[in-house]
Amino acid sequence: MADDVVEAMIRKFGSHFPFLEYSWHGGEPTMAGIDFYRRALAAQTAFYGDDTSRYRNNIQTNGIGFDDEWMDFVRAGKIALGLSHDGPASVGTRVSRSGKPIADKVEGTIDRLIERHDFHPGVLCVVTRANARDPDGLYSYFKAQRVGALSLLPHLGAEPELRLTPDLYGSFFTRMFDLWMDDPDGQIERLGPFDHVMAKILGLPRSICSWDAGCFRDLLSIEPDGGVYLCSAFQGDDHRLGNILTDSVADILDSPNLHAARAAQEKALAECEGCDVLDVCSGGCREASFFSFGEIGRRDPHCEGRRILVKHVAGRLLDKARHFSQGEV
Amino acid sequence: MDDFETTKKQLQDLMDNIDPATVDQVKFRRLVDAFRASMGHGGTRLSGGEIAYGRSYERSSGHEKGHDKADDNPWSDSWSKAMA
Repeated sequence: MADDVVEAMIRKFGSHFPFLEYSWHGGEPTMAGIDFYRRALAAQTAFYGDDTSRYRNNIQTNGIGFDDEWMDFVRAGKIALGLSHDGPASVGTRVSRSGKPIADKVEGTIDRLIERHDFHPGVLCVVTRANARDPDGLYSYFKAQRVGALSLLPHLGAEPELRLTPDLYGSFFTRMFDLWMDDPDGQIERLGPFDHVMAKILGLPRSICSWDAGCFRDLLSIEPDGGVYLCSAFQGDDHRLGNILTDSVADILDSPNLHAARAAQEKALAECEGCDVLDVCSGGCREASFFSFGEIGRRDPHCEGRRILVKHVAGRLLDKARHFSQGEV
Repeated sequence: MDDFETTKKQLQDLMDNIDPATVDQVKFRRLVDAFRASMGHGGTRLSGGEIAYGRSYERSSGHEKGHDKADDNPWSDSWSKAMA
């Protein structure tokens, strides 16, 4: 991404929105080099001045090239750090350009961050048919890795052979919830999406796009050429809202493609009418619909699995609440 | 009221009356604490901004209070209105 794109993004969106979280991801965002991020942070400081309450940064990396210099940089810049890691090499699907699993390299990065920097990183794990077969083994693995938090994201991409079936979605996520909730060890402080599901069941304010219908409302994706899209998952002319270098924010947010996407989302939500867990599920993920059916406005393919998960979590919480309140309602 | 609504109502009623100090399970205690805080009974609210990126530098470095302070919810109505 060129410096003029970064500057325009910060200036235009920063002028329009009261708060922004800049999520630097990719591809592999560390490939841009530390100097790129030094300039980006300098551009933020030039725009926001000392008012750091209006923005945050996070970076999501595969961890391969994340050395001590990077760690010192993100710590000094107060950039939230997440590692992308799908489990041990035997079940992980992330590979290098030469086709070799990268899990051992990520494990080395996690060890180094803990031992040298006293930092237990959060891990974003894409759940596929490969690593979902053994939730007990996967939980034990990440616990042994000493990660501080874990987010489980069902595979939504174009490879249908990796996608979870509805049954596997339900069995995997409910088992992972039980393993985490019943684990007396607090090492894995948060496990997503359960922290969001629990909060929404209780009416607490949480937000994760796939559980809050946040797409087309809370998120914009900016590509290296300045192109603005609905979401990093949606590319191409049908999903392009404009270009940050040449268009105003008002024009971008009034894009016919954005209106069409919101209409499609409304269509999908109409299918959920009458569902008893809708206020927790929010109608599912549009990316999941897009990759499974080729259009945004269809029911989330994990619909039934999500419903099973929500009811399971609510039931478990109710059991615990009864236990600790020492009485039935 | 359907079954799920009944479950939620029962759960919220119970959660509001649990003393977090009596909960010996760390994850459930944190949830009780967050829920009671949202009801105005003290405790620590959860931040709406903690998305999928795990424990941040601030959290792991002892600055959790600042990161988790009340009303720290950037995904607020004002943002959505600006997007509209």
